[in-house]
Amino acid sequence: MIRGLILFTESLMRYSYLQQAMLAAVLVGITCGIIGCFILLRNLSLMGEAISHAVLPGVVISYLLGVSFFIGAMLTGLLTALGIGYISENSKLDDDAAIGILFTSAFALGIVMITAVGGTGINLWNILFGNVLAVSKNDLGLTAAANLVALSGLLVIHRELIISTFDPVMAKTVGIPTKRVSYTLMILLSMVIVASLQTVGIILVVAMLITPSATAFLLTNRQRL
Amino acid sequence: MTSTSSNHAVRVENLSVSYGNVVAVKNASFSVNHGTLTGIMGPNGAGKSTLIKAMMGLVRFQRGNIRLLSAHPSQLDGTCIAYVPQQNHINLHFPVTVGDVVMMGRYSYMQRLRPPRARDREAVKASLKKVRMHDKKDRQIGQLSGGERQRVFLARALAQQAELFFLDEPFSDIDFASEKVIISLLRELAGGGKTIFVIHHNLDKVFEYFETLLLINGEMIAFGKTQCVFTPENLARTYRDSHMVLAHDDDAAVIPK
Repeated sequence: MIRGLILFTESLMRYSYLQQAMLAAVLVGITCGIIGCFILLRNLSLMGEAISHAVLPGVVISYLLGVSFFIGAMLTGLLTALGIGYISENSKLDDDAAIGILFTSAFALGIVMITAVGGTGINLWNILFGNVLAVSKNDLGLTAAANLVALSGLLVIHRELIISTFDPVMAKTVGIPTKRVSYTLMILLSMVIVASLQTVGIILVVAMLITPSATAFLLTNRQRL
Repeated sequence: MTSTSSNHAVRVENLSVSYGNVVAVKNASFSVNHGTLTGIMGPNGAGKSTLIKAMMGLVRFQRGNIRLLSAHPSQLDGTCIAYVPQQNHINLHFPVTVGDVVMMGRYSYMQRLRPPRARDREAVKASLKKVRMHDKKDRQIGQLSGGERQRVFLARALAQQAELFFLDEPFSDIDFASEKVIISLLRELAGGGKTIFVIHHNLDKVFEYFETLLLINGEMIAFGKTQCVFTPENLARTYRDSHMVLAHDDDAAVIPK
């Protein structure tokens, strides 16, 4: 155990790819944990799952168009989040049913696209579970930038988020645009998820979002206003 | 207080609100002066909550006109309206302390990215003292009794220093001591020129609590001084679907069917 630790520390100092992997993992861990607190309080845990699965077709489309996977993944992730909101507001179905329908369809669409295009060089395994050791300098920069934007966004609307989560009617009476706050949270969430894609993959990202915040929820009585 | 040509704090004309095909409020017209404590009564699903939400500018109405402090509800800034929600709409596990709930009332006075200032903390402290909850300011909101929690939400409304107060069933399921604290504070507020609307469920104490009363069952049944409005005939019309009204001379009893 101790020898393993020493070996790891030595390798960490020697190999730059390991340093990048470590940094990326820490960054993703911090941001997911923080945004996860709001996701948990709003009962949106499944929404994280939905957005993460829905980025798959976006990744394929980005590959076909030759643009950064970040753009396509953000786009399909957000479209799914909006679609879920639309279905649950305009039909008899609740959120959870809408999520169940949309995220499986989006994911299936992604698989079909990968198979149909063929030889995309997209490694499904890496998208599902991430490949933290393959994080390049460029990827690390992108991850850091996305996380920084998400964290600053959260900081700016932090008070509005808490009040409108706790008491949406009162929030509206004091002039908080609750709908806009919700949409902003969805955008930030998509961003965090897409930025975590390479590090932890679309299956594990939900664990990064929910487990730390669920633990915090059990331990604390107070989320600062 | 805003000085206006008409002295009404709230003026509602021919208000109708519907959700899809369902009419929730029909033809409500009334006006209320500054410093009035008004009770709103009616059976379940009579449109009481919808009426106050329309007044607060939260639901769209199809017909009619609403003026709060001589302005359209959407033109008021966040400091004008204080709202106390119905108890069972609150998530008791939410990680928020009593002090922070009251601090939410200071939202419109606080600056983005800045912590609360001294005057915000002062307002919170004073409001909590008024409802006699200051010693429990660090408790989590779920660790209070129903009455204590209701007092905390009233404290939040006080901290807002608003002109108009809307309370959704503040007296249901609370202890007698809390009820006394709340009603005496509401009277004090009304005495200071604040305008207050209270959705009320319980038929006793109506005379004691409200000088003005509004009866509604989808359509507005009656509005005015409590002694004129709270009559067997009006009650029978208000509660006709769900209750039996037994009238004898000036006395009436309303019994659920």
